[in-house]
Order: sequence, then C-alpha cells, then structure tokens
Amino acid sequence: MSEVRHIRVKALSRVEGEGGLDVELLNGAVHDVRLRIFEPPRFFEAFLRGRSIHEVPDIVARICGICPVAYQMSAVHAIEAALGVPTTPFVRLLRRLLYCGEWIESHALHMHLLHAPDFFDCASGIELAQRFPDQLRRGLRIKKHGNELLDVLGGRAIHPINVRIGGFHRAPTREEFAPLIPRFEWGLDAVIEATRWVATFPFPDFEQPYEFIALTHPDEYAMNEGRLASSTGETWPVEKFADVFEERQAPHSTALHAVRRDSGTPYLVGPLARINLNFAQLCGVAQAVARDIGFELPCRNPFKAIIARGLELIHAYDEALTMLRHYTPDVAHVDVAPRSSSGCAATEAPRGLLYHRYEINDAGQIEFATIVPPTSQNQLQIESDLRSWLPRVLNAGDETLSRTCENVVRNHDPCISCSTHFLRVNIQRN
Amino acid sequence: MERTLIIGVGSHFGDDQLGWRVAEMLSTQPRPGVRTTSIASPDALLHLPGGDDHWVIVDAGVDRDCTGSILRLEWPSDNIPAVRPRGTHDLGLVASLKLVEALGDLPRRVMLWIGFVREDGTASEMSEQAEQLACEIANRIRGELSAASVAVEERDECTKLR
Repeated sequence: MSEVRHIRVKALSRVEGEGGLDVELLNGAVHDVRLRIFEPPRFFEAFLRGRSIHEVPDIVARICGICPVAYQMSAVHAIEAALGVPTTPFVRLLRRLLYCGEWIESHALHMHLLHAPDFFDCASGIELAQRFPDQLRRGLRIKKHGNELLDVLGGRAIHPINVRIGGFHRAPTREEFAPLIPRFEWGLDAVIEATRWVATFPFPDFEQPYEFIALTHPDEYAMNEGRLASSTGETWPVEKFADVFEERQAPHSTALHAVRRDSGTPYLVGPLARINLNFAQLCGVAQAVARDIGFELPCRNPFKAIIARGLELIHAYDEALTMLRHYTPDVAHVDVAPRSSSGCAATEAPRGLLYHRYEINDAGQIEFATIVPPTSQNQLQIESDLRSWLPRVLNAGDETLSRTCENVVRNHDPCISCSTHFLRVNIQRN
Repeated sequence: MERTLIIGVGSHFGDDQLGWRVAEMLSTQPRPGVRTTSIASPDALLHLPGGDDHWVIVDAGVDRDCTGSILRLEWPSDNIPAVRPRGTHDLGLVASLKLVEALGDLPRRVMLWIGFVREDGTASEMSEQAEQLACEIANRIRGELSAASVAVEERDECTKLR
C-alpha cells in the first residue's frame, strides 16, 4: 500500500502578494510540488489597451509598490524603442540613478526584514530586531535612503510620478540632491558592513544547476540596457526575448511560467544571476568586498542570494554617490511623436529581468501590451529548487518542513503581486 | 517636563488628510513639551528622533461599520485595526510600532487615535465629516494633555474652521 503525505503551507509569509505551496510525498519521495499563485489576475496588460502612451509610465508603476521604477523603466524604454526616440546621456544617467534608489530600498528591505530572519529561525523581522537591533536599525536607514532618492528624483518615495516617455518631467537641481551626498557617504560604509554581516550567516550546502539569465553590458553593471545573456555563454538582443523564452499556463497558478522555448527548461533571473554573469562590471569596492568575504563564483547556492543583494547594494551606493557628486542639470526630456509602431525593452528590476513589449497606433495609443515580470520567470525554477531541497528534510515534521520550504521560496524574494498572472504551502504525504 | 510628540499620519488626499489636519490644529498653539509632526507612512516612525516620553499618533481608518466614529487606544492593544498596510512588503501601523518596540525605541506611553472616514484619499478635499472628526480628535487630545498637566490653551478648532 502506498503512503501519501500532503503538506500544505496555506499562506507564505514575508513575500509580496498571495500564494501558497502544495507538496505531495508518495512513499517518502517527492511526488509533486506546486507553487500556487492564487492572487487574482490584475489585467494590467488588458487595461493598458487604448490608453495614451503618455499614461503608461504612471499606470505600470502601480503594478508594484516595491519596484515601480522597474516597470516605468521597461515601459519607457520599450515605447521609445518603438518610436525611435534616442536616450540622451543626461536622461540615461538620471534613469540609472533612479534605478539605484529602487535597488537600495528593495534590497535593504528584503535582506534585513524578509530574508535574514530565516537564518536565525526568527518568525519575523520584528523578532530579529530584538536579537540584532543595531543591524536592523542600520538596514532600515539604508532602505530609507533609497526612498529618499526616489522622492527627490521621482517626485514621490513610492510610485514615482516624474518619469515620462522621452525622459523626466523635471530634472532636480543640484541643491535638491546635495543633502543626499553625506547620507550616501554614510550609506556606502553601512552597506559594506551589512554585506560582511550577512556573509557570516549559516548557509546550507545547497547548489543548484541554474541557467542564469540577465542583461549584460560591456561597460557597466547592466540596469537599463544591454543584451540578454545566459550562463551557457549565449547572448541575444532583447528583441529576441520572445524567440528564446515563452510563458506557459499552469493550472495551479494565476502567474504564467516562463521557460526556455527550445528546451522547456526553467531559468533563474535576479541578483544571483546578475552577480554571476556581470561580476566584472561591479564597482571596484563591491568586487573587493566579495573577494574579502570569500564569495566565490560561480555561486549556485540560492541561500547566498542575500550576499548578492549586499554586493549590489554596494554597487548602487557607489554609483549613485558618483552621480550625485558630479551632477549637473540638463534638458530633462526629448519630445516624442507618436506613430504606428511596436517595440520592446528589458531592464533589471531588483528581482530580475523585466520585459515589456508594446504595439502603438498612429494616435499614440497602446494597441497591445506584454509584460513578463521576474517572478513569473523564476516560478518554475523555485519549484525545481523545492524538489531538490525536500529530500533533505523529508524526515522532519510538517511544521519544520513547511518552514524550510518557505525559506527556499524566500531566497528568491518573489513578488507575487507583480507576477499575478502568485503564496500558501500545502504538503501532502502519501 | 514630559516630552510629547503628536504624530499625524496621512497624505495630501481626501479624508486621508485627517491625521495631518489634527497635527496642524495642535501645532497652531505650541506649548512647552509638546511638538507635532506629520508623516506619510507608519514606517516613518522608525526614523523619528528619540527622546520622547509620549507619542500621540493620529490616523484615518476606513471601516464601513464605524464611519464617523473615533477609536482611542493605548499601546499595546489587540484591538488596533489594520490601518495603512499597502502590501505585504509594506509595514502597517501595528508592524511599525512592534518594530520600534523591538528596537527599544518606543516611548513609554503611546496613544493611538483613529478617525474612521468614508473613503481613503481619492478626493482632493476632506469631507465635512472628516473635518469634524479632526476637530473632535484635536479637542480631545488637547483635553487629555491638559488633564495630564501639560499646558495647552483651550480653543474650539471646530468653530475656527467653520
């Protein structure tokens, strides 16, 4: 007689949005793993249709309260690609600066309040704060810096309103940026210490055969521009995204599953992918810290994504500080003339590659929109991680098993609200 | 002298301005030991300068069954409604207060005032009902501070606003 064990995590905590996890064990072996995304579909792609291209940056920002800049950046680059609008050097610089702000607030939040508690069996960031108050206080201050940068440059700390097709509605003055400089000087030292701290965490010995996918750029740590790159050594122009990758429906998920079109296999986007593919473009300080803490490449341990986030924080502070110190205001945007066209772009959201494609009519309205967020690209890989992880913990009780499965999921900082088109864990032992 | 900080939580929009309006009303007559500030989200509590003995936090809440009413609570309380969490990556009022407490930065006394309004900030102006709630909360806070021997001059804000 077969023995079935079902384990269900009803609602995953410390992830953005609503989803769950169902695990079915048959005769002590993993039979099925389903990352269930039950957050209702949000239909952003559908209600962008018929809207002016000029409304798109503010509409797509509402997809996520953590990474609105990512949605704005992929959108404006895609629409500008469709319309043949060049990105001026000044606008390019401001967009990287805005992205630095978002990476700082998002990575600081995930490292300190969402991910770090897992390494100390803490149920929440609040519990961790009682054990490590100084580290948590530092992390919260780092997060605040990111929001402050978004506030000055984006017009608001959350859901920025200063982004437009062709650039920005208004370029901040030197005086507006000046107060940020001493804070970011403190912050750069603070994120170096934070990264050294997380590097001492007790990491499980767990490696996965990931195919990493990220943007790559020869001259800079890719954020807004570059070619798609794989850890297989392949690269493609962003325009080939839909030829290389496809989204598939899964009955248990309102998020689509992205896979490689040729092999049907999952891939990983996000900080770990970027660090592995683009380490040479990291700033010198981040590279030096990585070497100093013994961070070896390739790193295929998803638990060490927290170190990757720390290294990216160092890079974001370093780059932002350089830009703030040398900032000289210039023309904030170029004018845009609508025409019937289509275009796409991918940028690096804090959680990974974010692809947008738009079709535009002569009136400058969106005819068709495709948005592929990082979490839907990582979803199948997360299920694969769980299949590899579960045999290690099968003898554990349901509570421990559920908790460690949640830890595996949180390695990837899934943003279900973004991906819905996603968390609870149900474990079924048969 | 006891140091009291009155904290209005809100935004520029509609009835969500209630917390800011109360802080504004109480700031018009500064008194020794009593300061006011306005914040846009509860996680800003994590970044307030320390040294206060007493926080008075005022926020707007939305509950269809309680519209027009005022809830007054003293921290800690199990009855604080879930005001202002914008998502699971966001800290609401309760989580923010717990985090400040865990960090050891919470004043020894924290009072919460929640005025229940009809909507949560999609209009540009406050409704008459929210204005009246703000006046009532301001007057009651002023009364409590007076009773606590903090010199606050009595004044009818509701009359002034009309």
